[in-house]
Amino acid sequence: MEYVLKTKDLCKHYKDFKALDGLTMNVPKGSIYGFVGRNGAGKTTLIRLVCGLQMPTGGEFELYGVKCSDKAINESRRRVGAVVESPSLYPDMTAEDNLRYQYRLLGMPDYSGIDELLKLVGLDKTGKKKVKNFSLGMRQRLGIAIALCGDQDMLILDEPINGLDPQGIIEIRELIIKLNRERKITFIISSHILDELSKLATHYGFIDRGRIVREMSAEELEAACRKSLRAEVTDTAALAMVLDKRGEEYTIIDDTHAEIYARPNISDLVFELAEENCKLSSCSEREETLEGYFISLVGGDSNE
Amino acid sequence: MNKLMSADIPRIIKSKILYAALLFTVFLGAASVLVVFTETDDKAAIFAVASNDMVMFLSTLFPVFSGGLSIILIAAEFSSGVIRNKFIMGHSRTSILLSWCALYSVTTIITFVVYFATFFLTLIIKGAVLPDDMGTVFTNIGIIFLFTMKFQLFCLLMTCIYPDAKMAVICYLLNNLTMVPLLLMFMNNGDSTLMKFLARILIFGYTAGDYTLLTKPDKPWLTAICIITLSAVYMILANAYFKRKDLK
Repeated sequence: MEYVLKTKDLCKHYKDFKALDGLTMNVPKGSIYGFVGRNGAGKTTLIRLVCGLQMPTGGEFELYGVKCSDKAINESRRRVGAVVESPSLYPDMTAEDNLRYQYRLLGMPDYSGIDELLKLVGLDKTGKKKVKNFSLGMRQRLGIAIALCGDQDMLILDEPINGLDPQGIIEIRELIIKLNRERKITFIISSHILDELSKLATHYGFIDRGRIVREMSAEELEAACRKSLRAEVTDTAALAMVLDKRGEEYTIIDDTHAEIYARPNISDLVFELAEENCKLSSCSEREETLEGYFISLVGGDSNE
Repeated sequence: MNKLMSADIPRIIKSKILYAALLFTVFLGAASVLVVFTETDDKAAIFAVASNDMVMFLSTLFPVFSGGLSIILIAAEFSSGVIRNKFIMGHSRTSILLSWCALYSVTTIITFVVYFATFFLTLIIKGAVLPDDMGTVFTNIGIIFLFTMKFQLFCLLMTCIYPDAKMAVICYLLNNLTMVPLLLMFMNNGDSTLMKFLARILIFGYTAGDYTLLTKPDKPWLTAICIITLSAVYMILANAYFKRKDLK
């Protein structure tokens, strides 16, 4: 798998506070990487380091194969667009003027792509309306348009749906999916709104206290969170034999417990197990939510 | 750096703050001549008196006014968060700093030109006699411009340390609080070697006493070198500080 961003033991310390404490993560090319963590877990700090706003105090990262200590890192950064915390816009300018400013910063030869960008984010009819009069959702979309100015290969969005109304959330979600599918743009989206992330992300990185506690694909997460039957039996080998015969998916947890990913008829199961001299002691239905899974990974304490 | 300049100069040229500042500059340029006409009718002496008043304004208020304008324009980058876009696009910290330095120069030059244009135009319209030795006048204006630029770079250094529009007020206070003790020092010990040296880097020393734009400057090239050297030190310090600064 090709990775666009790789970090290794990345650290950022502010005096005694460790915002990042040996963070290692890998962002696959073309993915929508959901960067999940509580407030203060280190999500924004990592984004600031990748964007060059701050320097790491230890470890390293590679952006498109270029190490952060390498002078060519600035060239790699040109392939990245970002909206860090809030969109960076001049409030007294119109959407078009903000994009023009960005085009000039990038040294683009003309402004021919501005109309298309405004249309892409649904701001093509804002005319002379100044950004200070925009809604939060409109600002967020303009922030994304600005981040896309140089035909970027990767976008980093820090809490992109914070403060948005349901309509705004849907608009941003659809825009991200569209850009990922049509333009093959890799996304890193930091958020603590897991439900929303689960509608987008193809990969996840769970961060807690400045460290990645788990990285996984959406499929792996789905498997971890799917509905199951937790069975306690006297002999898991016998249970495995019975379930194999029935063609049902399961995971043996230990000598007496197993997870069954189906809804078998309990009476039939008890009968078949009895034939194998195995007793079903207890049986309970389980469904892990994304939130539940996250809490099981990082514990319930606050970072703040 | 060219990309940064080509983006920021149109932004500043369109800024309402710049036009408000220029209006104020026109008012001051005209007022510093018109006030003298209320004191004397001697059209031959008007220039000397007006330029004496003007130098006082140029040394006390103008650097702060011009520096404040630059600080407000640059601080807008921090308050709006647009500074982040420059980093994300891969512009180096040094090139961002140099572009700010160029912007500070642009605002200083614009305000300086507008001020002197108004000053001389008002003199001419009012029929004042201009001096024969315009070379000395322009040398003095050049030196005062360098002093103003040096203060601009001091403001730039301060902006790097504390990037907020409030820094304009801090710089104003720093300038004015140091003015009286410095003036007293130069008036009491102006002949000592140390004071003569300090007069080459501090505008209050350079313009102390009966200085006017007609006063023949002593070794203006040496004064220029001293000012440029100190300006370079401010720039180096600003760069060193900005390179290590964590931005949000």
